Amino acid sequence: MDLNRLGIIILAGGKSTRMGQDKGLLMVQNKPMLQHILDVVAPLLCPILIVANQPGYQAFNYPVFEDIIPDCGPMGGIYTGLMHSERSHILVLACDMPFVQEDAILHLVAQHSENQGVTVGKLGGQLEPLFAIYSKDCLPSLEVALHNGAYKLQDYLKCEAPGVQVLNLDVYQESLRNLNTPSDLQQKIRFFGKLAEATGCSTLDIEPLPDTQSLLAMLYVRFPLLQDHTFAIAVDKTVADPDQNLRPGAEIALLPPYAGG
Amino acid sequence: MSEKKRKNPFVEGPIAPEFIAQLIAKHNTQLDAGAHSIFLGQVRADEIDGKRVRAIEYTAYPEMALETYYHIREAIFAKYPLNCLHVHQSLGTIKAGEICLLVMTTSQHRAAAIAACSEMVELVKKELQVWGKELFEDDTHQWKTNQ
Repeated sequence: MDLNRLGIIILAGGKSTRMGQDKGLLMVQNKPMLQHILDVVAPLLCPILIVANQPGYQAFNYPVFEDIIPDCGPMGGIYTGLMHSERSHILVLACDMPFVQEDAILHLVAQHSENQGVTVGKLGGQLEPLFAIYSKDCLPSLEVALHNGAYKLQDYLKCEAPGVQVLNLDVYQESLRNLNTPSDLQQKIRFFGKLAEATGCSTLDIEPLPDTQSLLAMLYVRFPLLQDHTFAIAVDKTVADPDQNLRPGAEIALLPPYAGG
Repeated sequence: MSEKKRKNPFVEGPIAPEFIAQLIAKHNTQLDAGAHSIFLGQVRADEIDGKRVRAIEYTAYPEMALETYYHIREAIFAKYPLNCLHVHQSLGTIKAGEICLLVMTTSQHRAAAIAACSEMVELVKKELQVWGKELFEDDTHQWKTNQ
């Protein structure tokens, strides 16, 4: 379908019990998670709405709506988005996909036609109801489901939703990765050889840092003895450049000079 | 992890002379082979400031070292006409006098086997994510550095 018929809804409303704080505002690589998504979708020039039930989302300078029917999970968010959007079809995005890329979105949009009720992504055999396009034709069946307390989107898509098309998105798996728990974001540092001895630890989990420069700065403060040592930094099992970006969840290793044989 | 199964060069503990003999014996069916070159690394009882090394304790970053080993192995096969290549690096505590590294190359003629063996030894020492702790007789230690 045409982008100028599409609205975009970002669902930030979830109670993130696992994150222990509001997910969309969580910092990932120096930006709130929600901002990563906004930076990707803003160039599409579709009207963007945020559905959120916590304060703090006004700062993003897009309209924010609370759930019309509270406490119904993501289904309530989709309903709220459809009710408020001026467009007849909306792209629904979860706020916990900070690595989402434009190509995955454009593929979904290209595969959706206006006579379809829903085009939903599928990853690793699982439907991704929060990476999908819904049309206003879904409103009556959503109302019924919400009224009946049948909040499971998987069930809704399989049984109730009109004109559902499923789109395999396995090639976009990495960019559609969800961040669900704080440990998905944490980086793990492994110390080897004499560096394990100098620091007194073999592994250390840290809040995500954006690059190797900030990693080194942190390490030298925390372990001043490291300044007396020569070492290389490996990121995800590859020796890193002097100033390399670090992804959340990366495995970092400090490698003293090798001494095999 | 497509083509062939990736080789793991690491073995726990010292490399037994009997194992080396069997490894040589296994090649007697390769009738087009004319040359083997074998390097054996042995733990040396260095004396440093009046203290003698009794053993070296080897550790590795296995997940990364296996990737590294895969690439250096591919590079050696690309460079030399080898029939086969065996590398065994010990992990754990290896006593002075025991064998901690074996590199064996096999080719039709000696030049390739000898050059590949020598280069592989250098690559193992320079590129593999392995570290050695030299343990002295008085239970102190120092970290091994490769020359």
